[in-house]
Amino acid sequence: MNRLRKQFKEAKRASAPSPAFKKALWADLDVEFDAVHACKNFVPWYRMAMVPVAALVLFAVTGTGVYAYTSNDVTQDSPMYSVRHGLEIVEERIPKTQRSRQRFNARMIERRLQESEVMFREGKMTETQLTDIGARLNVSFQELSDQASAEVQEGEPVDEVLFNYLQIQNQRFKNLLETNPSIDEAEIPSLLERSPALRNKIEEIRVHIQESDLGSEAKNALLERLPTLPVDANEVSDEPRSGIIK
Amino acid sequence: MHKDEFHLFYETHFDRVYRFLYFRVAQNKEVAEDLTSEIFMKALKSFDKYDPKRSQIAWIMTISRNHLYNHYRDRKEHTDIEVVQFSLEGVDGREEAELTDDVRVLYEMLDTLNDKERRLVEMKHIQGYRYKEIAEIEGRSSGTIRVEVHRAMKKLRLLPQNYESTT
Repeated sequence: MNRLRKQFKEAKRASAPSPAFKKALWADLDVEFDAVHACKNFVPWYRMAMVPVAALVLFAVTGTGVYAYTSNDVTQDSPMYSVRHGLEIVEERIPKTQRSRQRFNARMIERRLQESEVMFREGKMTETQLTDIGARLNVSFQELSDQASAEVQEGEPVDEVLFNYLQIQNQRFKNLLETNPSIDEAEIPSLLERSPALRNKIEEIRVHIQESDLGSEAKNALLERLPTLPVDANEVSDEPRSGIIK
Repeated sequence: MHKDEFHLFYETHFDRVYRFLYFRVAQNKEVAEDLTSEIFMKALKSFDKYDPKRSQIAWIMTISRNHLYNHYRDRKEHTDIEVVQFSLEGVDGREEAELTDDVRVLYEMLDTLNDKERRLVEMKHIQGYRYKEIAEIEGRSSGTIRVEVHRAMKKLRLLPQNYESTT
């Protein structure tokens, strides 16, 4: 790496905001959002559905289980992690529809991201963790894309909420990659490029929508719902860097 | 407005807004954090009025710039925010000591560029913007921005401080 590039990388690192501040600010904005917009927000139904299920599971265990299941501080290097993981397996085995399973998987991605963010702050995050999250994201996007493709064919609305949710997790994943000093900037494209299937699938859906018999307004509405493809971190590319919903 | 949309907006622009402010408040993290909070609160309250046809980056950066001007105006400081961006001295003098040699040398090198070149190089290589995004913020073509950043980087590479690349 030449000196100038190293200097810029160091300046970027030195000017990085604290993850704790970012999390705290979002917590404030979350509350403020509800106040400003009078709770018009969508509460994902799978979260509401999870409440009784989780309550049943957690009643069966001790307060330790509650802590292990809910605390963001229980990470992979914690002795409580096996309890957390065990409860997740129980939750995973509860029969679900395809859509609810996808939403469950998306929620698990968020959990792994939260754990990685905590471990990153403590300097314990490994590349294996990131690769695992990247792979989960790819699988979830691919499954979602498959379903969206079928739904479009049947004239049904795609699961926009889950697309949005996954895009947020994808953005958090990118942020983790970009702020992690242990990952060479040059390696980021390869970490984000492990999703050719996703790229192909999204393009396939896009073409399918464009060639369908739907009216132009309906086509545009569906096209707008498709997620932006995962970032290509190539520095010389002019492609948008993030998955913004337009 | 959907909360997820605003959350994605926050995740996408948080780092850049913070970095933009950080270099304009003399690397004072507390001030940068306060201003970042205020800017996103403003954005939240006016997110409904945001015109999706307009670039999100250009929109949030306009809010950030205006808020920063107001910050200096309220403190009755007549400060050119483009000039203070790479000020080496922290508010209590300690920030500078925490900077690594690499960053300190980089700041000295950036001070040799004119305001526009410095701003573009900062956006590209420190704040992490794409050429297309810088073009949206600056209201110019991405080709022009690319050429100007390239020229500025060439100037930096030729500076004697950048001794490794010149030897």
